[in-house]
Amino acid sequence: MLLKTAAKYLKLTWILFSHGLMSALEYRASFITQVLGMIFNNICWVICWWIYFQKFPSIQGWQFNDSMVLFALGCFSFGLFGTFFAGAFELSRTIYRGELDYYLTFPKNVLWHVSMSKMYFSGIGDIIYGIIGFIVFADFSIERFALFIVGGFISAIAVLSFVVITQSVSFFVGNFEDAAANMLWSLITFCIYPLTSFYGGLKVIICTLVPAVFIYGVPHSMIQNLSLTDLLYSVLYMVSIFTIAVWFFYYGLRRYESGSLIQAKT
Amino acid sequence: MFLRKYISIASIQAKTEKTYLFNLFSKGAIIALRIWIIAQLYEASFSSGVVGQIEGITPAMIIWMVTLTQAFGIVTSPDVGTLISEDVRKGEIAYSLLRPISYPMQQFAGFWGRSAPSLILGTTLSVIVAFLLVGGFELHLKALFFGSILLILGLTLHFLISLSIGLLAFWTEDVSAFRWIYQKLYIMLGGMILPPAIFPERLQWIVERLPFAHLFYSASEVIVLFDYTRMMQHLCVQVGWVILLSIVSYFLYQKGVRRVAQNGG
Repeated sequence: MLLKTAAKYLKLTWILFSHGLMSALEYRASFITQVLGMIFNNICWVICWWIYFQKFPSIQGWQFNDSMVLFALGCFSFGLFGTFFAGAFELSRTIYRGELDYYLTFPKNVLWHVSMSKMYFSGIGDIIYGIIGFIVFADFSIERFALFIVGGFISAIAVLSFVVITQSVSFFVGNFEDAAANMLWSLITFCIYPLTSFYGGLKVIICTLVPAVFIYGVPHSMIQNLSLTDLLYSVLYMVSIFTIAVWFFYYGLRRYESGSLIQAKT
Repeated sequence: MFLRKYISIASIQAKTEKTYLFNLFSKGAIIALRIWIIAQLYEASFSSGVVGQIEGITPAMIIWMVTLTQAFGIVTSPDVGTLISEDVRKGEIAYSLLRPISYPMQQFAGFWGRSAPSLILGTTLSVIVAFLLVGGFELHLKALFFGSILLILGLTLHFLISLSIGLLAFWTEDVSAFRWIYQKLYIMLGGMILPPAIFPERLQWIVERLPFAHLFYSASEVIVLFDYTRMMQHLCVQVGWVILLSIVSYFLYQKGVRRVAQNGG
């Protein structure tokens, strides 16, 4: 039953994605500029860290390649999140403006629908860069590449869950849009810094409030050390945060107040 | 008289910004977090023992320079380029043509109004965080004075580049790719993580002549490490870029506005 439902939603996800992609491709120049712009954007980070590691070749055992694999993982997972579930990024605005009504009238899962309501196709540039970056900078092997892809999907679901939790705070406090966006950008910031540099209070923050250690650090360690234990930890964390996110969203939804807004979607 | 309407726009924007205090504090908190990250990163990097000082600049000075650069960079949110490109795309720029007000000047006033509260709060929070993390540095009054002039010119330069990018929407509809490229260039070459002093010598020479290090970094360098010759160099490059970008944005606006008329509004 569960598998059948999952398969149905996967099929629907694909249909919505392909329609969105076709519509984006209508403005081909804009689409290509966005994808290439994102790849260039990521290459700038690579140059930035290359310069840094020329000056400091090893930061507490962390080297240039470690950073590049972490960054490739961050790009790949964020690309997946942005391409498929960018609607979650605007959840707070949808909630405090009382615009969820549209999604509540459909028979499909509300959280899934609202998350899929928007797609950032620049995310494709992130996905492409993530894969190329991994191939170029990692110690390549088929096993490691397979773990990279699995790790990317795990991180993407964890990022989505984190976004749903932070954006759903709007059910309780009203406008939380900028704060939630800032929390996401803070999380992403950690996929470009050497994770071994942090200690004390900052380490506590990246394990709890902005859980970069679990969303990026553990999958990164799984890829670099080919560790199945880290794979288990990553999956456990992903399942936990996803469950919390779904529960928190539906708990908040009980407090939702409609904006009585009539809107046409074409 | 001429300036009064623009001062009013700036003050309305400042009041709006102050109304959303939570939003304002969250921006400040993010900058504080970034400074904490950067301080620990540099601490870990220097403790690796490969490098003790860079061009006579101590690790604490580097952290202070990056701190101030990050604090001044708070003005990049919300992005002026995005606001302007939205106006262009939605056609709202057409309304401004009917008003006795210049659209670029209106945006300029709005930019300063929005930036002032964030800048004051962001800089205060950043200074407190940096002070707690690495202690103080010797601050001279003349450094503060000339640093402020470089900051005003730097923020103006940032506005002019963002305005030019936003106006490109007349031709390209979506300007996000240009925004990302500009954003990455000022993060990478503008001293927001790596001070140009870290760069290889040739690259450093080029970077110091490009506009990106003159947005927020040159002011922070002068405040932390005052040197009259360096200050004059920064000032000349900044003024040159401000003049050049004023001309570029003026022509982009004049050409772009004609396209609005051709479309019939």
